[in-house]
Amino acid sequence: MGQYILRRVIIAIPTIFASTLVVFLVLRVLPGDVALFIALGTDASGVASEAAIEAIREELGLNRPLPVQYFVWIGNALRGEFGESAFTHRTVAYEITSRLPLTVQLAVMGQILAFAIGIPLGIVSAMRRDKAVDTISRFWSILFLAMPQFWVALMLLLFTSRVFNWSPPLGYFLLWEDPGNNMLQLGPAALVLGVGGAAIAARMTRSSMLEVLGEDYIRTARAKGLMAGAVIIRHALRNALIPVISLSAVTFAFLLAGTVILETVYAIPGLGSLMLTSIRTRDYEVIQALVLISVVVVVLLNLVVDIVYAWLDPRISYS
Amino acid sequence: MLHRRGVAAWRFTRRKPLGALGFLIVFITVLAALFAPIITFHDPLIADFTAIKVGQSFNHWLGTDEFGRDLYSRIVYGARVSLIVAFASIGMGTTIGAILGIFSAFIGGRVDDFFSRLTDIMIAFPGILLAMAFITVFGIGLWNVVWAIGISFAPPALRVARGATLSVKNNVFVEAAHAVGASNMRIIFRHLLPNVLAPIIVVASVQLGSAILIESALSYLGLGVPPPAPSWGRMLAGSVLVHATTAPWLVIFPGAAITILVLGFNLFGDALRDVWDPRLRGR
Repeated sequence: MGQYILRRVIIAIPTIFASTLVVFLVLRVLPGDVALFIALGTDASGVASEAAIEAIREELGLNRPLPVQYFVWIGNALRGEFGESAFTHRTVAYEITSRLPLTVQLAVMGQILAFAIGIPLGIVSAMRRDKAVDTISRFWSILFLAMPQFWVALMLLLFTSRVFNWSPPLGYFLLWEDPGNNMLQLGPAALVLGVGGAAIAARMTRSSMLEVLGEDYIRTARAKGLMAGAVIIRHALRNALIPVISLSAVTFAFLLAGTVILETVYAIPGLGSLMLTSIRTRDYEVIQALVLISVVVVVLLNLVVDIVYAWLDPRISYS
Repeated sequence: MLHRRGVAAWRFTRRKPLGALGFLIVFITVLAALFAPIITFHDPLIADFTAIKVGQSFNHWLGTDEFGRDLYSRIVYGARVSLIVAFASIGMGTTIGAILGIFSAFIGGRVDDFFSRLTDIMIAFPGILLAMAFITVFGIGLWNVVWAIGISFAPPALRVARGATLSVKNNVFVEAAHAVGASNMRIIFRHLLPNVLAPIIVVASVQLGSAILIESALSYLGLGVPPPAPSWGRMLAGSVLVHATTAPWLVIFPGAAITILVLGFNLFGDALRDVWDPRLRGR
C-alpha cells in the first residue's frame, strides 16, 4: 500500500509539471504580447504607451528566453508569489487567500448536501426499482441535470424576495467572524449547488447499487437468511459506495465550477467572482494564478481519489 | 430504404418513449430556429417604449422585457445561438477527439500513453473553467465560444474512440486488410472508423445538453456570444432580477427554454446510448 501511494505520487509530479507548462504556454505565450495586454488593463484610456509596455516587459522578465521565464514564473508560484493585481494593486496572494475560505466553504457545504440528499435517494431508488419512489427520484434527477444552476438560483432569489421579501445579505462575512450572516449568505447558494450535485450523486448511487444487488454474494447473503436491512447495509451498500466515492472528485470539480456562477448570482466575494472580475478587467496576473491553482487542485484531487479508491476496494492490486 | 427507416423510428418510439419525446423537443426547436422570422411577429431587437414589461397577451405571447422587446421573439431567435453553438462545438470537439483517439489506439506505445494521461487530466477539469480560460485569451465572439466549449468535449470522445478502436483493431479483418497490403490510412478510415462510429455518435449526443448549459452559463457571465444576437443566458444577466420583481416572466421563460432544450437533448442521448450500447442498459 505504502509503495502504491508512493508510486502514484511520483506519477503525479510530471503530470502537475506538464499541466503547469500548458497553463504557461496557453496564458503567457499564445496571447502574443502579454505586456500589451496588461498595459491595456492598467491604462483606463485603452491606449498603452510604448514606455509603459516596455516597463511591464522588463518587470515580468518577458525579454528573457521562454524556458527561463517559465522557471522564474513557476519558482515564484511555488513560493506563493503570484505578483500584484493590476487592478487593486494588492498582492495576488492576498486577493486569493482572503477569498479562498468562502469558496471552499461553499463547495464543501454543497458536497455535503449533495451526498446527504443524493445517496439515500439513490439507495431507495435502486431498492424500489421502477416503483413510484424510483420514478419520482429519477425524474427529479433528470430535471435538475437539465436546469442551469444560475437559473435555479435566480428563481430562488425571486421566490424569497417576492414571497418573504428577503434576499441574502451582501458583503464579506467569514464563518468564524460573523457566522449568522455567513450562513445566510452562503446557505441559499450551497442549497442550489447541493441539490444539483444530489441529482448526480443519486444517479451514480442508483446505478452502482443496482449492479451490486445483481451480484451472487447478495443472493447468498439473502439465502442464508440475513435480514433485508443487513444485506443492504453490510453487503450491498459497502460495495456500491466505492465508485460513488471515487467519482466524488468529479462531482467536487463540478461543484467548484458551479461556485463560479453562483458566487456571481449571489455576489459572494469568493474565488469565482474574483476570476470573473479579473477576466473583465483583464487582470492577467490574477487569472494566471487562479488557473494554475485550479489545475493543480484538480490533479491533486485525482491523486487523492486514486489512493482512496485503492484503499477502499481490496480487489485493486497495488502492483 | 425510407420504409425501413420508418420502421426503425417506430420501434425506437415504442421502446424508448422518453427518448422519442426528447427527439421531438429537439426537432421542434430546430424547426423554430430555422423558421424564426415566419413564426414570430416582432423584431427581437427593436425596443418599443410604449410596451415596457407588459404581461402575456395575444400580441405578446410571453410578455415584453424592460425595453419593450417581445420575449417570445427573443426566445425563438435565442434558440439559434444555442443550437449553433451546441452543434458546432460538439461537432468540432468530437471530431478532433475521435480522430486523435483512433490514431492513439492504432499507434499505441508512448503516443497512446501521452494522450491517455492528457485525457485523464482534461476530463477532470470542469468544462466551464476551461472555456473561461480560453475566452480570456482569445476574446468573446461566436466562433471563440464554439472553440472554447468544443475543446472540453474532445477528451471524452478521445477516450471512447480509443477504447472502441482497441477492441476492434485486433480483429481478423484488420489483419486481413494488412495482409492484402492496405495502407494504414485505408485501414483506419475504411475498417476502423465505421466500427467505432456508433459509440462516438452516442458520446456526442449525450453531451449536447452540457454544451447548451455551458453556453448559457458563459452568456450569463457576459463571456458568451456578444450582443445584439439574443441569447438565453444573457437574457437572464444584468439587472434582470430588479425588473423581475414586477415582471417575473423575464426570469421564468428564458430559463425554462434552456431547461426544456437540455432535457430534450439529454432524454434523446440517453435513449440512444441505451439502444446502441447494451452494456449500459437500464442505468
